[in-house]
Amino acid sequence: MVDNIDKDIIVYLSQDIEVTKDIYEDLSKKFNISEENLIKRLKRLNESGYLKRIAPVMIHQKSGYNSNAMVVWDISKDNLKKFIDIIKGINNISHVYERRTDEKWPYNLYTMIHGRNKEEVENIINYLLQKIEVKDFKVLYTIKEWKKTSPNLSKLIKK
Amino acid sequence: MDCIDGKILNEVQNGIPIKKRPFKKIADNLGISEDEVVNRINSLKEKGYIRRFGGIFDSQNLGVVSTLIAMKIEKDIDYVANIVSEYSGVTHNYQREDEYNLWFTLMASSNGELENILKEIKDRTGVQDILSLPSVNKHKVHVHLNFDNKG
Repeated sequence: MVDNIDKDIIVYLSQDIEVTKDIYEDLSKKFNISEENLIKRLKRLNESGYLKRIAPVMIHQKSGYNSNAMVVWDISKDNLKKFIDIIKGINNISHVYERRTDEKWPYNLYTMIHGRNKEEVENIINYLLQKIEVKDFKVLYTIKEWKKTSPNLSKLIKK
Repeated sequence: MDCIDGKILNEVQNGIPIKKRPFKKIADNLGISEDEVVNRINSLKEKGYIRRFGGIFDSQNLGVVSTLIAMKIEKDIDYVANIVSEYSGVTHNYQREDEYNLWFTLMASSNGELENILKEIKDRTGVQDILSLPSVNKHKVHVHLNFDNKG
């Protein structure tokens, strides 16, 4: 179960935290618990699927990944699993989501493809097209990033 | 960003260990001190390679509801995009190459709240053609990029 200290930890860690050599010891002081206790809680949150990892959130563009496209696919149910398994092995693809379709929008699988340039993105798409029969697909390159932040969990989770 | 920075990023982007002195192993592997690892990460933050360092959570497991919204905007996209970005539940808002040209994720603490925010956005922007495309299955979110060899 998640108690109130866990919730405080979740909200605090959902922001930008200071990186120090003894990062867990320094964090534990903010919650008036021992480092051992904090580590125990973080492990539990991690094992129960609440906390995915503690890591840097990268700004792809600044790291040379300038070409980012959302590629949406219309794939039959029969081919979906095989397609997803192939995608899982490709490092430049994130955010693989199956989504509800709409009568105006038949695409059922969404991927974000990150490349250093358009060519790299297109190579990945061509590779996938060779591997699996696709009914239809669309490449939606980013024109402008209007907003990109991490969720404000203090407003979203109930205490 | 130099080669050591790249190696550090390749390692820590998958998550630092949840145990005492989490930077010790990577420091030992690279033959540098833990302080240097930490200093380099902080310097990458200052230089803007890293947006934030912290916990990455599964918001769905935490009870947060979300959807992806697509809008077909014929004019004044800047005006609409700015209104959309005002909402704290909107974490990603992108203009894209398509007739559905504005795409944003919307999160809320309940489905009712999500509907209310969406209705308010519709009313304020006057955009009629909107798709709400909630996920039915997530397969992979994390991306591992190679920072070591910029080829």
